Amino acid sequence: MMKSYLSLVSISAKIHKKQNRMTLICIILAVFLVTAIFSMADMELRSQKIRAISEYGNWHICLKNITEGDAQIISARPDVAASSWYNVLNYRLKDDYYIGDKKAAICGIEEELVHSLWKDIIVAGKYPAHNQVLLTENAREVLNIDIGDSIEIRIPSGETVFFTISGFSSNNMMISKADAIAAFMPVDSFKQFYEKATAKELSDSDLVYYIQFREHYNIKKAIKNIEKNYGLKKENIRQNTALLGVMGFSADSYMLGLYMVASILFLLVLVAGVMMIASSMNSNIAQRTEFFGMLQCIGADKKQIIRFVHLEALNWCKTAIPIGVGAGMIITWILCAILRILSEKYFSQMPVFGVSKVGIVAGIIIGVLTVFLAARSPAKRAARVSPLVAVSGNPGKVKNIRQAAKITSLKIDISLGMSHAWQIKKNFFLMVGSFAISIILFLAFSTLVSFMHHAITPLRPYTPDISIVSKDNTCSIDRGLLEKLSKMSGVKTVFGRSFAYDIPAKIRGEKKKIMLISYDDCQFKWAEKESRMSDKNGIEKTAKDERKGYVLTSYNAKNPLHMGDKIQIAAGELTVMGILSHCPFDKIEGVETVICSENLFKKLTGENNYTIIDIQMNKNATEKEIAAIRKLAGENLFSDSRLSNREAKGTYYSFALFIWGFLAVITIIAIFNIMNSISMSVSARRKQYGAMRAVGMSMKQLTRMIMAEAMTYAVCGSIVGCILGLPLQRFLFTWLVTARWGTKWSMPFFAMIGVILLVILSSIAAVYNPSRQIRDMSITDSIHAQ
Amino acid sequence: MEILKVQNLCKTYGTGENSVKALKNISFTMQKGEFATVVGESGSGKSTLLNCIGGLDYPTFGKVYLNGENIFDMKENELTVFRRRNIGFIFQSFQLIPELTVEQNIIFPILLDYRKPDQKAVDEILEILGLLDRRHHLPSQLSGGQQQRTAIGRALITKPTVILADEPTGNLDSKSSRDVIDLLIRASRHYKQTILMITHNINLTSSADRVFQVTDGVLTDLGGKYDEKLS
Repeated sequence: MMKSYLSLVSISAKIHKKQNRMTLICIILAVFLVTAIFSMADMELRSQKIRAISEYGNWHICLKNITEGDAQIISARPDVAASSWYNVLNYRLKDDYYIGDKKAAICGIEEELVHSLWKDIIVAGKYPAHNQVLLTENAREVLNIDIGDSIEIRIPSGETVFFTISGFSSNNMMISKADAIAAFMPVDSFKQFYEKATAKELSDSDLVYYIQFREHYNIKKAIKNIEKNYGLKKENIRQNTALLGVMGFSADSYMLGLYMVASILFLLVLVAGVMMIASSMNSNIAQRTEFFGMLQCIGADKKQIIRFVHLEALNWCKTAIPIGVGAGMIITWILCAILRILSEKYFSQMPVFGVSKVGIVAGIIIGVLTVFLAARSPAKRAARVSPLVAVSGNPGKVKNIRQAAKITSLKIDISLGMSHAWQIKKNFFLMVGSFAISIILFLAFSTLVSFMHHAITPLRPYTPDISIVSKDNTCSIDRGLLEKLSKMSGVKTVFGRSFAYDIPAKIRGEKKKIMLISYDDCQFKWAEKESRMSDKNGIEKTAKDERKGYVLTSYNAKNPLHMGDKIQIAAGELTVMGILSHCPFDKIEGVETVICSENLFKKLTGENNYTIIDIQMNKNATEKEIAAIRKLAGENLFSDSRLSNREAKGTYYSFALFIWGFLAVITIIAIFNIMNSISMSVSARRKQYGAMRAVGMSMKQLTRMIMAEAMTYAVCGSIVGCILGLPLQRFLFTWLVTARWGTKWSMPFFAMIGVILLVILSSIAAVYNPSRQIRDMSITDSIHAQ
Repeated sequence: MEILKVQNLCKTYGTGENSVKALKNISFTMQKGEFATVVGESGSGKSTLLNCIGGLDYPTFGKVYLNGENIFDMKENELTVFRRRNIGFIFQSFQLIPELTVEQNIIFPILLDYRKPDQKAVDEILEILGLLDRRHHLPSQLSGGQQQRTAIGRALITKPTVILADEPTGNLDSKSSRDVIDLLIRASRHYKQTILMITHNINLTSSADRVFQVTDGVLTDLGGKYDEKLS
């Protein structure tokens, strides 16, 4: 039993399921787009927050030059969650502080620092009491010590100070790389130690004060307030920019630029959502003018019709929004799961089924809001339908057309298809806008890829986990060590390099200096993948043929060496056979990097041993295995880069995954949107197509006509998309990349061609299904289709 | 000369208990230049018959010979081209292409054949239809009668053997209806075309050479004029 005229909405929805399906799909896509992008951005921020906390600590600012009294007042502020004093001696490891034979950095800390601000760094034992120290975990293996043991710290004067070990903290990236040890002690003990070691009194101004603010407080405001209240200068406040940045509180101008870019991108996503929903609803209403005319015929007033359309929109939301939000969440879960699989240790804190409140709320609000906004104009349009339409027999778009189609020299089907596209201006703008927004979205988001390539350097195939380096940078590491290392358990790859520095050379008659480096077969294999330019088999020849003096060099804009160049050195003549795009060494100003085979190196320098041996470990290598390598390294420097590699990998994965995720979602949405738009456009004309077939239009001609219409949208959409998208991309690029790295914007030909091809191919594919549907429908059914 | 031959035409919608026999074993022939009307109540199967004869719909059984060719032996594409060249359709709701002018709508089937329309023939049709001064108007700028006259022009332009009209006056007032029918007859006489027209309007059958009646899918040939038979 119908209770009100509005009950017709649900009845009509049941009957017009097929017609409404496309509108539903559009709303689902729009909600999915918004939920997925917002959730992914939220998850990315969470992962970046985890990264920032694990890399830099869970503190927001640290203050210098404040008094004990001020610190106490600050710690009592309601917006301060935790605070602690901290100082470090020998931070750069340049002075002679030793624990055993390892260099040491000595830190004074408060308990809050290790628990809250540095995020639980204690891995064993407890916070040190007076005369106790907490050591970095690497000390346990290196010095063969444990909790409760006694150690001595040697100070530059040669004296020693004894401490008992209270526990161990997680390793620090810098400490691991330098093979040093950090010792943490309470601030009071530190003060005494400091005075003994430096013969100076430690004042408050030498200490720094770490502060962590409570969540949900405006940190930016709090920082300004502290700065003003305690008369602190800018240089006395250090901000944890990485953490504040991801929390949205950075005052750094570059970070502000990033926020602006993010807002523009989100705005674009919103516009895309609104456009998609608006165009679908418009088309849905246009198809039912007869129905609305009929409603008016039987007595519905304009308000009732508007209410009817609004309720219909709400009815669609009921189904579409949960599906869209659900799909967006699933995509986010998949990405989070991939992230955990890729870098389990690093992202173990990421929830497997993380629910992004931001994403869900954004999806729902934007879904409902845009549907209502988008429904406004079609509702008015429906209300404007004349009751006459219901009986005139000429419903639909007849009235909207004011200009005759131009039948050009093109075939009739093509001219008519093109004219179908631009006959109804509003529809044309909506369709072209819908195509263009896909391109604009793609171009705008593709800037993030350039940003990623600039911001994060992925690990190269030759990146070592452990390096054994000659103490005096000479070829003093015995070749036999490499063999021994390669046989050790846990070791994946070992490769050695010999260095000869500052060799005088003549390049094209000019006096220069070169740094000669030897590569083994393994490194030449990697070099092949990094080759920027080389003769046929140039790298292979360099690796195998030492008699001819073949060498490689690495690319940089200032490198005077080109392919085929000759380098004269005292020991003979060298020929450049290839240029590598990357190599593992830093460029020294005025010295050219020249790479040769081990045999040639020996021939030229007489040296047979290595300067450095790099080791890549198996994924599940144990600390015991690392300790064994450390033992073998003996007097040589031992550098452990596993921690920094893991961090680099983690950052790269999380960033790359989400950026490519954004692009993938946008691409999928673009394809679906195009397909749905074409499909809707065809549905709206089904009746007309039936009449055309009746008077003799073949299916081939009909398909060509639809194709011409789709292509008109695609081409116009691509042009508009590029005209609007390129300046926007340039603007975003300038903010994201040029502002920081100076790289100038260049026309993104690949991205542009890629996205235009995507649009055109999707449009071609989009024609297939509707034209098949028409073919399968009898002509009489098409003519009488509603 | 026999132009149209319908043999044992049957059309059933649905299957099993729900099946509805829309056409039951219909057979008849029409001669060149003959003008016949089909009368019958709503839902009797008139439109189904016309659609099957025109190849817009497929019968369950039976044959339709046009110019001696069974149209259902043709492949889909062949049938489309055959229809384009040999059958003219006129619908109750005109089914004009809204973005084409009167003239463009009329020449549309010729353009679909990728041929150049003969301007003389177009002008002649426009003149017969009284649309010379409306040739550049869009359908939305025409009255119902003018729109239907345009649809007649479109049906005549290829000089088809048969014109099938499904209640061409259904959406028109009585004066326009009479005009359209007169025009249709005049044009078909002029071009010697066979016309099969469905109508509800008994008055319009007076001009027809033959009248068919369809009742529950069964066709009865009433021979001469419907009102004569009645009388």
